[in-house]
Amino acid sequence: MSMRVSKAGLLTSIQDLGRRGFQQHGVIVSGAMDSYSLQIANLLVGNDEKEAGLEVTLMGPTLEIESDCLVAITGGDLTPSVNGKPVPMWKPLFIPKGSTLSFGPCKTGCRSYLSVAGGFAIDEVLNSKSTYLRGEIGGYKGRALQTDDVLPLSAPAASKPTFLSNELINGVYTSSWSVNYKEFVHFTKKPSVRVMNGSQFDLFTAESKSHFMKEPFKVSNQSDRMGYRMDGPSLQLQEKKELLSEAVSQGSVQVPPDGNPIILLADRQTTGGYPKIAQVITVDLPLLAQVKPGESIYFSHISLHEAEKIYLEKEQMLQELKIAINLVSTK
Amino acid sequence: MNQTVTKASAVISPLGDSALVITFGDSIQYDIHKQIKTCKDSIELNPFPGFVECVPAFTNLTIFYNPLEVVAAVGKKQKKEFVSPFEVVSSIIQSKLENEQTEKELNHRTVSIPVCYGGEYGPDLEYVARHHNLTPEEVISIHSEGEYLAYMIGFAPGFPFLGGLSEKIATPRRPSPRTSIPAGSVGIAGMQTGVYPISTPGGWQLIGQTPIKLFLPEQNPPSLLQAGDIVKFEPISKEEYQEILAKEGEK
Amino acid sequence: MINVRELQEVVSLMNESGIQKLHIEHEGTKVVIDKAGIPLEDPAVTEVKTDEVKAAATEQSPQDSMSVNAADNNEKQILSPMVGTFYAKPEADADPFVQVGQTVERKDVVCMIEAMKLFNEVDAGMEGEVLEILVKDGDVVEFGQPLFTVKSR
Repeated sequence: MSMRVSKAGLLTSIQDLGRRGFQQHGVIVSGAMDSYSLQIANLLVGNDEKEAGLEVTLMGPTLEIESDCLVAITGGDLTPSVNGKPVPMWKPLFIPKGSTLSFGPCKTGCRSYLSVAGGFAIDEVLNSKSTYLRGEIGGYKGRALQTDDVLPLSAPAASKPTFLSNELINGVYTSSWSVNYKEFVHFTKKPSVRVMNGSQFDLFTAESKSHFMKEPFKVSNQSDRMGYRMDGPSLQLQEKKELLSEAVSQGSVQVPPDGNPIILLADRQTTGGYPKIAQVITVDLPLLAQVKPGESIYFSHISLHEAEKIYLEKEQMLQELKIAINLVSTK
Repeated sequence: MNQTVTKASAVISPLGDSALVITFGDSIQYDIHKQIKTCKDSIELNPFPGFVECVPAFTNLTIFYNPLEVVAAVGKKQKKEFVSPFEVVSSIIQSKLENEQTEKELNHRTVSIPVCYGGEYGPDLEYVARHHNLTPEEVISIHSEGEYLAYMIGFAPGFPFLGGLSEKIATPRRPSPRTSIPAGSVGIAGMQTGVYPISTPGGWQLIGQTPIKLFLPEQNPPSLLQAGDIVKFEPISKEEYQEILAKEGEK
Repeated sequence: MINVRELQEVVSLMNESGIQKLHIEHEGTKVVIDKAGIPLEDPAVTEVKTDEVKAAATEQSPQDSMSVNAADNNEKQILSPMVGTFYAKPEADADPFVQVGQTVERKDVVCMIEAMKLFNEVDAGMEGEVLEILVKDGDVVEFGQPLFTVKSR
């Protein structure tokens, strides 16, 4: 029970919700950049939301489906198709053995997620299936997928679930329902990314603080899973200060001496010595993951309590979605 | 600003919406390190509901938590009103700090790291010697006599931030970094000394190499060194280096 | 609540008897079964109709639309199979599923009804020309509420 990679794509890797519990040993968290899209993809195929899936970046892979399987594709629209015909996203898809799943032009967003019912049969390293690309551990052989890789699937060949249509449309059997994903991730131009003040916010000049919350920042080409380097007004400290290294988190916005902020993301190092002007709230990290180099964002300030409220609300919504999908999937 | 000032003037502040930082001071001092280690050990011994992990650094301890689990553990009658996960965790930490006995001495493990100094293993040893008007042998002697406290692990898996380097051999970073430093390289950068557990780019002055592995992904903990360890460097010969390297390869 | 088994029996009775349309009210639950324009022997239709009742009970299952005769001419209404929010378009900046004057086939998707963050596609359930769209994008609709008027063939 497997999928074979006939074309690797730009950067396709196995990611779950991250490797937690080892940051004090310098082991980074990794995990899906857009965790909501991965979780929803898992719910759609009946997996635990934390199960590992494929993270597909900008140019997707071509996969030969070697056994019948139930999958779901979420995240940015990278025009997925089966045997050359477009297939819908945000729905469960039953793909018969012998089909070819491929991706085309990137229409919205930046990263797409593919889940398969039962997940991939990949061993965990340090409690996670996420790929730590630089450390060369986890995921599929500690690296991004390459041509001729064979991805083993955990579940035996699936039989078509009864809640899916009996009609093969564009090479797949699918449902007449789909997820309204807009509460979790959206693909608007120049989105507003909500932030809390960072640990060293007060060390910055008044002008820098003002510019940070008002002006657009562009995602530069030197941006990747480690972090997004932003182009915009230069941010300066009131006085030069050498800081001692300390822990950072996903969403920490640190400012090196050159004044251009870096938003730390999934593959960030565990510690850093640059001043942090802000923290992107957890709920807006998926939004950021769908912004491409060359595109711009705005930062907008919210309080800790507001950030916490929004986080708890989204978790509640995710649980409700899980219940709703269960209801329509059992017949 | 959401902050709580506690006994012994430790300050608790948020790091985003899913973590907080307990700051004990503002410089590298053994006493601060002791407070951090004591607090960390206490939390890890009895993790609160929602605790994920913590990361010690030079002057603070960062606690990562799951806000949903933190709130879920709070009494049911409060569910209707908003409960701030940060405030729940802060009060748990505050009680711990107030009840702490910091008079106890820390137990430090001593870890010995074998190093083959100079030659092809330490391309910058001669530069460091010249920089200080010392002979390479004197540099090796000073470096290997020192006892270094690992204040924290970060930057790369298993990479120790060691304090206690003698000023006599403290040397600035190379003006242009190397694009790749072999794993196991022992180096000096300013007042810091350390060992690269994995191959990365870097600007450190390389004075030797260790054949042993510092990052062990198949083990738990996956790092040879931990915050609080005392590290000593033990000079070995080229032959001993090859022997140990072969043994490590079999693991 | 109407028992699904009872409904299945009612539908097979309808099949045997040739009754085209049946309106049932039972303890607050309303069911309209209209087989107009659909071949009697089609087993899929029978199944679907039964499931529509289940949809009424759970308010979650997406199904073919229900319909009712608006008048004695061939005008029919497509009714909402569930409670939720009506969406005329697949995406905010896309064209609507159907426009007035458009011809629809039985399996064409005419709109989506959203509930609990799931979009449910509603099929026309009949062939004909869309005469009127009775609700707006974003309206909250009730189970059984008329959505479209269609001049059925």
